[in-house]
Amino acid sequence: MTQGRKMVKQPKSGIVAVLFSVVFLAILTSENFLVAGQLQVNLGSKKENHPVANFSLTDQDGRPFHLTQLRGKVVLLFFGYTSCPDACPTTLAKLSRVYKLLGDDKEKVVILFVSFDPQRDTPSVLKNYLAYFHLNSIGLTGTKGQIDEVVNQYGAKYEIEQSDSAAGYHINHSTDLYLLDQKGELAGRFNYSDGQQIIVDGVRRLIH
Amino acid sequence: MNGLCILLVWSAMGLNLMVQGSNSVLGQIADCFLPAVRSAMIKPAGDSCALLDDKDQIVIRDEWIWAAPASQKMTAAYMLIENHGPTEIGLISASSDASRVVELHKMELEDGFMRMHKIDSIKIPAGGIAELKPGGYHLMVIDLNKELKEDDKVTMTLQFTQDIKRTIMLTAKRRGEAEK
Repeated sequence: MTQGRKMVKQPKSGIVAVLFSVVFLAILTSENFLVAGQLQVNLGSKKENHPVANFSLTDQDGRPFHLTQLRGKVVLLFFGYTSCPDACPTTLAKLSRVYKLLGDDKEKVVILFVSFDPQRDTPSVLKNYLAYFHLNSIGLTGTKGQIDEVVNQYGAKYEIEQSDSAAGYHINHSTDLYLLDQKGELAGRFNYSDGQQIIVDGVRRLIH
Repeated sequence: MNGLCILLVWSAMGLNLMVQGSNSVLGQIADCFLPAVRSAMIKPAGDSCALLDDKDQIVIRDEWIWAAPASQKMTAAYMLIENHGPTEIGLISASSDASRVVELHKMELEDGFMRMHKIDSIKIPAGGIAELKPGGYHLMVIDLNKELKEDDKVTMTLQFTQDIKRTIMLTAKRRGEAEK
């Protein structure tokens, strides 16, 4: 009886293995695509939980913000927090270089910085922080629930880690930069290692 | 111990005469340990006879810190640390005049997900180098007590193993231009 069960199980596990391989290959392929820094046009419409072309948060002046306010602008959106010592300033520094390279086209681009850390990142903290980078940027915050909704909408990820550091908690997080077109639709995604020229090219493709 | 010191002073002086004015390897070697020997000569005879001054053993360069607005309580400092000595040295702690605490941290990027860890030491192998740079190791400067504007100076004291201590001056770089 036991032997019989084992015999039946084997083909099943084979099918499962094949299915896993297919899924794994699919993931690998999509990752490679990103690593190459290619622009993924209309990626959103192909994904199951594709972002709707709007979300609402609070801006760095404490006013309600809706993505629909930026219709007609190309948006570079990313998530971070102002106590982030390394990854976030590195991305903002890269965006400063993107801005320089864009020349006159930069007037058509807005950068959105969504904080993972509403506890520390009040609107004024965000405003002071972003002013240091001389970008056309808007810092966004909200309740944890509102922020999580936007995080999920774009497939970003974060985890708050309590540590023995004097800094208290810190946040581990995904580092993707999202490109939204003039209608607020997700038009591309850049990874952390993509250089400024790849981003400039992606933005220009939407403008021209 | 004192006898050994005298012997070394004597041999170093001889070496100094031999290589005076030259830029030879011997000259560099002499330059390396003569200051230590000279200071040993000035000092009253004691127990210590350090041949290699820690200033020669550890060389820190390209040090900088991200500028930070007053509202920001944390920032990060970077540098290259060279170990010219014969044994591995660890950077084990740091302190600064600009903040309450300085910690050693390491960043790890895996599948686009950035994690940060507090660590106990950064090892610098004998004859090797430790790179503190964005995406890798940094000194986490916590509870800044002032705004750091571009070109502001921050003093930092680094404590290494083997009782080596170094104080350095870092220049604040404005975000956006700090990196190439």
